[in-house]
Order: sequence, then C-alpha cells, then structure tokens
Amino acid sequence: MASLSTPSRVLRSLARELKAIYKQEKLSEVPAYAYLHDQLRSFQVTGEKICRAQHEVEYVARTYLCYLESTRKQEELSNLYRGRGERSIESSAEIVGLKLPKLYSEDLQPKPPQA
Amino acid sequence: MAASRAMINNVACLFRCPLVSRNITEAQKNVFPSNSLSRRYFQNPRELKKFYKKATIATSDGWYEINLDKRKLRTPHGNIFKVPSEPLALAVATEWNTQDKIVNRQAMHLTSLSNTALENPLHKTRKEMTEAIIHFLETDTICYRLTDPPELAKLEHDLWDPILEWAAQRYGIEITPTYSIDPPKVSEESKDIIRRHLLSYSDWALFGYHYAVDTIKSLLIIMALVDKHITVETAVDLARLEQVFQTNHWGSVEWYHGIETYELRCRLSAAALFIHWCSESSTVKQKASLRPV
Repeated sequence: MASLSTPSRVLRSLARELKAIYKQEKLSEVPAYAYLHDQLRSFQVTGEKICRAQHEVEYVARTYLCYLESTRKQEELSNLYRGRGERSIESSAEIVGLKLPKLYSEDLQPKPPQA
Repeated sequence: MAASRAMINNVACLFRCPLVSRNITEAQKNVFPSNSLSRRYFQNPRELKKFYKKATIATSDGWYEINLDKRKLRTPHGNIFKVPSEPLALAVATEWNTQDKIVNRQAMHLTSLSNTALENPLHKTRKEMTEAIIHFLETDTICYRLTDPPELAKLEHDLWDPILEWAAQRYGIEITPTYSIDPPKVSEESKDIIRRHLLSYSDWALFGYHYAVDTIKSLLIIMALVDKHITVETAVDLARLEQVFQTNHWGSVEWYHGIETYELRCRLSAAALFIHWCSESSTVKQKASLRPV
C-alpha cells in the first residue's frame, strides 16, 4: 500500500510547486500538470508488466519535482542574500566592532567660555 | 616642474577640446547605429523584462515549439526554438511561465540546454563529445580518495565504493581509486565500454550528458544517475561529500553552501530530465498509445 501512495505524494508536491508558478490558472487547466497527472495516473493501474515503467515515470516525476523545488529555493536564497550595493564606512567599521572618530566640525566645538 | 605642469595643462586641454568630444559622439553613433539598439545596450544586458503573459506549446512536423503569447520563441541565433519531445516542451514552457517581471535566463537550464543542442555553438561532433565526456573518467571525483581524517576516509569508502561496485556489475568497468596524485588506473577496455555506451545516446542526450558530467566532475555518478540507480539529491551529496563532511563539522554557511547545493541540484536534475526525454522518444510514444481514450 505504501508503494501505491508514493506516486500520489509526488504528484501532490508537484501540484504545490506548479500552483506557485501558475497562480492565476486552475491547476487542471495547466497543460504541464495535466500531462503529469495523466502519466502518473494511467501507469498506476496497469498490470505487472509495466511496473518497471511505473517506477520510471515516478522517478522522472521525482526528478522534475527536485528541479522545480531547487530552482525555487535557490532563487529565494539568492534574493535573500543579494548584495545591496556597497556598505557605508560606518557600517563596515561596525561589523568588526569599531567606531569612526567624530569628524571635526565648527558647530560641535565646545564654545570658549565667555568672559 | 614647470614643464610637467604645462604638459598636464595640455592634456587637460585635449580632453576639453570640442573636436575630441565630437569625435567620441561620432564613434558612438557608429557603434550604435539605431537609437533603440543603443538603449538596449545601455540597459543591464543580463536583465530582460518579461515581455509576454503566457508561454504555451505547439506542434509542427513532429517537433514541439514554444509560443510566448502569439510569438514564437527563438534561439539566440534567431532560429525557431524546437524540441523533440512533448514533456520537454512543457517543462520549457513552465520555465518561461515561472519568470516574474524579469526573465532570469541563467536559471532556465532546460531552455539553455535545448538551445545548445539545437545550435551546437561550438560545432562539436559526436566523437568529440564522447571523448570530452570520457576525459572526465580519469579525474573522476569518486576515484580520488583521502586517508587523512579517518572519518572522511571511512565515509568515502562507505558511500563511493557502492557506485564503483555498481559500475563494475552493470557495465563491467574496472577502475581503481587512487590515494595519491597519480591518476586512477582505468583499463582501455573500460573506456571502450563507456564509449560504446555513450554512442548509443542521441545527439541531444549527449549534450545533456556532457553538461551533467561537467557540473559535478564525475562520470560514474552521472552514469548511475542516468540509469536511475540513484536520485539527484544523492548524486549531488556524493559529489560534494568532502564539503558535506566539513560543513557537518564546522557549520554550513547558507549563502554559500545552501545556494551551491540547490544550484547543483537544479543543473543535475535539468540534465537528467533532458537526457531522459531526449533519448526515450520511443517509449513516450508507446505510453501515448497506452493512454485510455
């Protein structure tokens, strides 16, 4: 029974990934999903002879799932760590726990005590 | 001192001189003849805005093409993009539909593999392709072993040896791993076996094979992957075994190790799918006829 449930689990994960790509459409109207569904379903009920082919279909579906998943995750990670231009001198100094000395400015000078 | 200052002045004059600046604009006009081209040139060349709403597939002469809205997708050389199998076309269309706002072409591995196979930009023959693939056997990742951290040596023994055993059983390939800088010993017969095996693939599949082997620098792991003996995830873990070992010990850095793992999985799964879809067209047809009407 466990082996029967695996293709449907793969199909469900694939459906989730495809849903994230095709946000607007109904999943049953997406040709890629229809194809996958058709392949996985029609091979589930065939006889013993095509059993090897069933594993083959499942294997390909699994590989495609891996492709969609890792493309998405890689994109997410790259976006998360994407460089946002150069750091300022202050923030670079802060990384190593340093502070910049205060710059000289006339306004900040302590006023000489008035007589 | 005075002379050098005068020279500097002269040079400054040269740069301010209107004649020179006009010459530069003339030259620019020659480089960018039309206005639109120059505008495109000054944009970031790696960024292409998403200029279509939906990618779909269409058939013609037994090949599958991609339509972006109503226009046909073309290859970098301007030919019409076409692939030999339906699932591959569907996957390529899905790749184009995945894009949001900007078309991220370097993440579209199936599209670029199909482009390479269609146009063969380096004009490689089948023989050159197979030799290029076999070349990786002598420097195969899983044949270079370490002895030093004993835990890693044991890990290599436990995880890489089954692949070597599988290759020996399935294809009769004899290769002895090396523990030094010498290359591993491979018999000529083993190379011949692999050469014959590779030549049984179609041209398109060979491009995928080369891409896969080049990604992880191991021919034996790819052979196991293409034979559906191991999964993509296992293949990637085997290829970066030492790094996995070190990151387990010292900690993994997400923006380097995480991204690299997913990148390799992407490339490898794309190549595996490409090889499968391009080499087994007969079984796909058989499946189509088996489908209940």
